Amino acid sequence: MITTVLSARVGPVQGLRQTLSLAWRTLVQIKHNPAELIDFSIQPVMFLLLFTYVFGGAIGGSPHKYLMFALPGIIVQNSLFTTLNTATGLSTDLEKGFFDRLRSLAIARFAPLSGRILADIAKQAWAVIMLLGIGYILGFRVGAAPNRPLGVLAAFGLVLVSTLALSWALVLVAMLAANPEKVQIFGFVVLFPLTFTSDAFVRTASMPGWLQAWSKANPVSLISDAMRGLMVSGPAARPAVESLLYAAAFTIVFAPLAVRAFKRRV
Amino acid sequence: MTYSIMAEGLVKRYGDTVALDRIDLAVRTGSVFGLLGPNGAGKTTAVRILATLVRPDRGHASVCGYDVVSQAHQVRHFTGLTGQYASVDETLTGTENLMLIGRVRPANPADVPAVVAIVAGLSLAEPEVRNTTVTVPVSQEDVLPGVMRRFEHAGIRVAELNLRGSSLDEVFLSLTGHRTETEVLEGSAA
Repeated sequence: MITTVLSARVGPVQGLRQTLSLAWRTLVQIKHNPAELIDFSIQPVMFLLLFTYVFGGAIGGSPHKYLMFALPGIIVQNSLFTTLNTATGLSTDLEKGFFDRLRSLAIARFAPLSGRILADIAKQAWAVIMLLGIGYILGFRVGAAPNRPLGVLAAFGLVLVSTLALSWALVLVAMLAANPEKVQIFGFVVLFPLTFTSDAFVRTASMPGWLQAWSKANPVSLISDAMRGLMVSGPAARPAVESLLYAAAFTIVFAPLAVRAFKRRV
Repeated sequence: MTYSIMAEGLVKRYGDTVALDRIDLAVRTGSVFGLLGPNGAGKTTAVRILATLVRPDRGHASVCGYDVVSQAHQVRHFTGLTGQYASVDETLTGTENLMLIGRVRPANPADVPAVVAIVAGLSLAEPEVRNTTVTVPVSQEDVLPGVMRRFEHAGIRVAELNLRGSSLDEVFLSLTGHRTETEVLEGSAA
């Protein structure tokens, strides 16, 4: 009955192809659910406009000055919030039994997870490009140093890598939570304070001492500082290295926990 | 080979709950096998073990000669699963669902006519298959669950073209109409 010998595992090339197919599946959903498009296109622009024109003058002296300060931070905030989609998406697939369907196929065990993550990286990249573009229209300019294009590319890579690393914690939550609504609530309760107690939107000088101390250690501050240093002006190397250390720590701690919880759950 | 599915002394516990208590099973190749039992009897657990989604605590089982624990990957070449809940992606169209399964598990190009026949066998008009997301009611609301179910089964058959077993949990859940039930059985036996 069986004429060919079946391999005992999936090769790396096949695994990659399956990852791409499952990423395709996540992206093609946008076509049928335009609300999602609002989620990762209109929402960041809304944040950018509101912060620049409502708070900008009060916080930064003028909308333009504030934009120069806040755009890197808004990019970080947006990328971080996007990772919540990864978590709720995974949770939905688990709840609806779609993961069972996939895992009963002879595909790489990591493909459902990596496919989702890859699709969300694509969405993030799109949102970052859009924020930079609209920021440019509003008057944001990268700093004058000669190697700025490289700096912007480095900032782009840094924000994708570090928010992806932080998202492992949320992926773990998705594996443990009963349904996507709980993941959403938990995510907001954690992400909102985390983002707003950083220097992503404001300089920390007016915060109480204890909050300043926290803000200095907050990974969102470090990523925002590095983004500013790389795109506009100021020191970049140290906050960038510290951001990457955070990224490494989160990946080392939470990725194995999340994968373990994933294996147990399904 | 006379038996496609063999199981001996399967035991599965979740905490203090014994979900499966020493189940033996032998399913003849080419047969349609129905596993019946009251709620909580362990039907789903048994199917999940056979589909390699859950490891048994004790006992062993094989599908098409491959062990469901130590040769899980090989087993997955032969099995298809539609779970107790709808396991199509409701945000994709029927065709996209089939494409997804076809892509992660490429079928032999020679099988394409068979895929086309499967889709044709859904008794759905072409544009519906191509353009309707599975959640959108097609003509009347009560048609919907049946449509979803049919796409699931079609997905399985796309994946399993070169004869293989299919595990259908709650096969008739939300299938509409007696005719469709017959179709599923005929399709499985084919």
